[in-house]
Amino acid sequence: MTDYQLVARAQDGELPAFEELVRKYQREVYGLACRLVSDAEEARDLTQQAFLQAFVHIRSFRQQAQFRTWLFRIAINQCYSYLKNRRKFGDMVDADEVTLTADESPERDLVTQEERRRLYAALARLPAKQRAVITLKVEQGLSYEEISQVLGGTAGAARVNYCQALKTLKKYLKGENDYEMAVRTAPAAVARIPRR
Amino acid sequence: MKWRCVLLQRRLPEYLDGELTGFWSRLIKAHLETCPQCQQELEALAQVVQALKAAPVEDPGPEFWAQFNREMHLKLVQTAHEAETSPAPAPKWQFRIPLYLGAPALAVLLLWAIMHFTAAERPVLIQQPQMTQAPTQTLPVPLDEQVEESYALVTMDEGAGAAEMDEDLTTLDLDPVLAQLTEKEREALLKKLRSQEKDGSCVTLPSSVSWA
Repeated sequence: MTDYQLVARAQDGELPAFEELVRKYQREVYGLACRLVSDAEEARDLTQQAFLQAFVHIRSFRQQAQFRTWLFRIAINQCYSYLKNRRKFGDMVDADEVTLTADESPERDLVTQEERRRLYAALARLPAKQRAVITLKVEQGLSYEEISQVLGGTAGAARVNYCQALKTLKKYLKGENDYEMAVRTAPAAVARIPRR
Repeated sequence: MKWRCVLLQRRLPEYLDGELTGFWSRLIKAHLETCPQCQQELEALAQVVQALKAAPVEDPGPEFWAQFNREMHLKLVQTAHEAETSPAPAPKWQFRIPLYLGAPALAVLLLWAIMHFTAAERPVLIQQPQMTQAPTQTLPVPLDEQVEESYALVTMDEGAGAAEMDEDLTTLDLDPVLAQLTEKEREALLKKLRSQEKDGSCVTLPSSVSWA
C-alpha cells in the first residue's frame, strides 16, 4: 500500500494504517534523531514524540508534500527543541560517550571503532542545521529540493549548507588527525594545547 | 589559491554527487586535470562522504523495535482515546462571527442613531393647498380631515368671491347681490365698500347708500 493510501486511511482514524507508517519510517527517523542529538535513549524518545505529533496532526496534512519529508520536518523540530533545552540547562553530551548502538560486538575492528568515534565527535561539533543537512543528504538520500522542504528555505540554501557542512566536517576530521598525531609524538607539549 | 579554484571548489560537493549540469561538470573535470590542489580537495571531500556512508547509525536490533512498537502502540491508543473523549475544539468560525458581523452591526447602529437624532431638526415639508385646483376627491377620508378640508374649501371660496367682488364692484348692480346675501355678509360687503370709498378706489353707489 502506498503512503498516500496509508495517510488517507490514517486521516479517517484508522490506527493500524498509521502504525504501518510508523513501522515503515521508524528507522529513518530514529537515525536522523541519533545524528542530531547524539544520544540513543533520547533519540528513541524523540522518535516516538515525532510520530505522536504526526498522529495528532495527521488530519492537517494535505498530502501536497511527501509524508516522509513532512515526518522528517516534525522530527527535526523535536530535535531542535530538545537541543535548545539541553543547551539552556547545560547538559552537554561528551562525544566520547556517544554510543549509537545498543550492544557493542567484541569482534569489532578497533580501527573502525576509532574512526567512528572521531567521526561522531566531529559531527557533534557541527551546528545542528549542518548536521541535519548532511544526514538528510548522505544518509537519507534526499534531494536539495526535499531538504529545503524539510528544513525550510530554498534548494540553493540547502546546497550551500551542505557544501559548508562537508568542508567544516573535513576540517574537524583533519584537526582531529593532527591532534592525535601530536599526542602520540609529544604528549607533554600537546597537553598545553587547547583542543578547540 | 587562484580565483578559479575558489569558484570551482564551491561546486565540488555537487560534482561528487553527480548533480551538476553538463557545463559545470565539464568545466570542473577539465580544471581537475590541471590543478592538483583542487584534486586534493575533491579527494578529501570524497573521503568525508565515504566515512559518513561507512558509519551509519546502526540498527538497534529487532528487540529494540519490538519494544518501540509496543510503547508506540500504547501511546497512540492513549492519544486517540484522549482525542475522542476530550471536547472538540470550537470551530474557528464561532470566533469569527463578531469579527464579520461587528462592523456591519456598528454601521447599522450609527445609521439608526443619526436618523433618530436628526429627525426632530429636519424641516417638515407642508403641502400648501392649491388655490386654482378644484377639489375632485371622491375617496372617503377621516372626519378630522373632512372638517379641515371643508374649512379650507370655504376659505378658498370666500377668497375667490372677494376677488370677483373686487373686480365687479364698479359695474355691478348691488341690489340683487345684496338681496341674496345674509345679514352678516351684507355688513361685511358694505364695510369694505365704505373703506374703498374713503380710499377713492370706489365711487358711491345709490343703492348701497340706500341700504346703509
